[in-house]
Formats: sequence, structure tokens, C-alpha cells
Amino acid sequence: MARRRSGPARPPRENRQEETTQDTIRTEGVVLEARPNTTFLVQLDAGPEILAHVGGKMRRHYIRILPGDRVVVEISTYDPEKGRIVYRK
Amino acid sequence: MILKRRAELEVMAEACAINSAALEAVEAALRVGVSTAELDKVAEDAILARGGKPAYKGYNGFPATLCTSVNEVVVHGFPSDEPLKDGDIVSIDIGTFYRGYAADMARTYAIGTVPVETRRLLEVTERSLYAGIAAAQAGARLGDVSAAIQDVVEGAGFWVVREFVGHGIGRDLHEPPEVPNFGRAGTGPVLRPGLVLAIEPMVAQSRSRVLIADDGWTAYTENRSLAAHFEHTVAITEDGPWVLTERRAAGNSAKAAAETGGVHGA
Repeated sequence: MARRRSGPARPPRENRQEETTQDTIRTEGVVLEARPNTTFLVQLDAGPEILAHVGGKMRRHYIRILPGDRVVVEISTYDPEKGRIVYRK
Repeated sequence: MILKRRAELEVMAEACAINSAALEAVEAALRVGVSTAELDKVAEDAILARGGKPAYKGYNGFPATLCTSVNEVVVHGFPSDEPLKDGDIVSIDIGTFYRGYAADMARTYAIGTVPVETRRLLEVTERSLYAGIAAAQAGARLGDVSAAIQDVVEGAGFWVVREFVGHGIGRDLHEPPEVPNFGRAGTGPVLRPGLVLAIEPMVAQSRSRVLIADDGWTAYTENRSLAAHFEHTVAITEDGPWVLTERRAAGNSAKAAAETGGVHGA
């Protein structure tokens, strides 16, 4: 009598890493301008203007961003010119 | 993996002898028009008469002594009152417990006249079993057995069923390791003397998934291509593989068996 093959042991799916965690700095700013490809020019409260895209979780929930919105931005520690919008106030 | 002592192998050989004798009784009853339920009765009587116990009956709820798998059924078909027809193929899979040890074997038979291509399916599947047995040498790896089977089957243009595998056997019908009929030579655990394997290629005529019917057992090819199944219980020894279920008595080696090719029933 043949044995049913035990399936390839599927490793438990790791909790997807939160977009928020590592190697980022969170700050706030104001959206100045909508740019192509759903990127935005954001004036950080600390001064500099950076280019930021909209985080995946926000896209999923169709949260719209308009110039003038206050937003929370995560900035990569590797490239301080770019960021990700993770929250609209 | 559970290794058996020589004395245990002797007992397993006895269990296998009973099992083989019962299969022979079934073979003698094979003909066009007989139902698989009748064959099941023959098998059960033959096993009980020799002091054995049907190993499948009640195993995870399996209802019968034999697995009778007709045509596109790969394995684990239930015996039924449906008579076998001219041109069918039927796999008879039989297991016995005797003095605490299990025996397991299977053969596929042509009923009446079958097309040449069907006959070739049976021949290739049996040949792949013996290729696997010949690779089951002490010191070889499990993958060598798998690859030897796969080479023969795929070399002949048939499909190795992936969903089911052979297994270790001993005090339990199914023990580790799993023995797939596909794989790479030189991989897997090393085979050591005292290990006993049920090697059982399951082969479909064409590439297909294998599904399980609503009864929870009957495994059939999704594309309904015919499937064959041959199985032996084989002990790994210093002197080479010992085919415990082989009917040709003393001194059989896998090689000799492979050369004579084995006989097709019906």
C-alpha cells in the first residue's frame, strides 16, 4: 500500500516585515506638489524638500494625497532625498 | 529509519511468503468477469489460512484486504462487485501482518487481451521496480533507488506518479523513510544493512496529476490515463538487496530477477 507523500514542508509564512521598521527615519512634512508617477514633493518640517512616493498600504486603501496635506514620511537612511508617505493627517 | 536484525528479517520473510502465496491464490482466480470483491475474499481467506492477518483492513480505516485499482485508478481502489472486463488492467496490492511484522507487495495484471501499449506500461513499470531494487545496495543512497526507477520510466516515455511514494516497512506497514520514485542519484540518506523498504513505482501512461476520490482513498489519474503499480518488500543486506516478497525461493538476487524479467499474470 503506497504512502501518500508528505508535502514539501512549507515553512510557516513569516509575518511580512512591516514597511515601517528598519533603517528609516520618520518625520512629518507638508506636500508641496504632485509629481508624475504618484510621487510628491514634500517639504519636511526640518527644512529640506524631498521626493516621496505613497506607501503600499496607503495605496491599498485608496488614501488620496493632495498638495497641502500634512503627512508622515519615512526616509531611508541610505538616501535622504527620497521617502515614503505612510500617513495622511 | 529502523534497522532490523537478521532474525527479524527472517520473520519478515515468512510474512512475505504468506503474502506472496495469497497473491498467487488471487492470481489463480483472475479472469474476465470476476469481481474484485471476490478476489478480496480469496485473498483474505488465503492470508488467514496461513496464520497471517490482512494488513490493510482497518489501516486508517481502509475497508478491505486488497487494494484493487482498475485502469486509471493508480492505487488504493476499494474492491467492488463490478466484474473485471476484457481489456482492463488491475493492480492487486496486498499486505499481511505475521508475528508482528508487515509484508507488502503489488502487481498489475492485464485481464484478457490488452493493447500492446498497455502491455508495455506493465512491463516498463515492473522493469523500473527491478531497477530500483538493483540500486538498493548497502552503502548506496536512497536517491539512487529513486533515480534508477525514474530513469527507466521516463526513458520509456511514461510518467512517474509523484503524489505517492514507497516507504520503510517493519513492525508498522509504513515506516520512515519515504521512498519516492523520482529523484537524484547520490542524494538522500545512506542505505544500511537491516533497512527494509517497500519499493513501489506507480506509473501513468501520460503526464497527469493524481486526484483522490470522495471516498478518501481511491487515487486516479486526472486525465484518466492508465496507471500501473508493482511493489516488492526489499531488505538491504551486506550481500545486496533481498527481495523478501519474491516467490522464486532461495538465493534470488535482484539481478537474476531482473534478467528473467518476471512473469505477467493473466
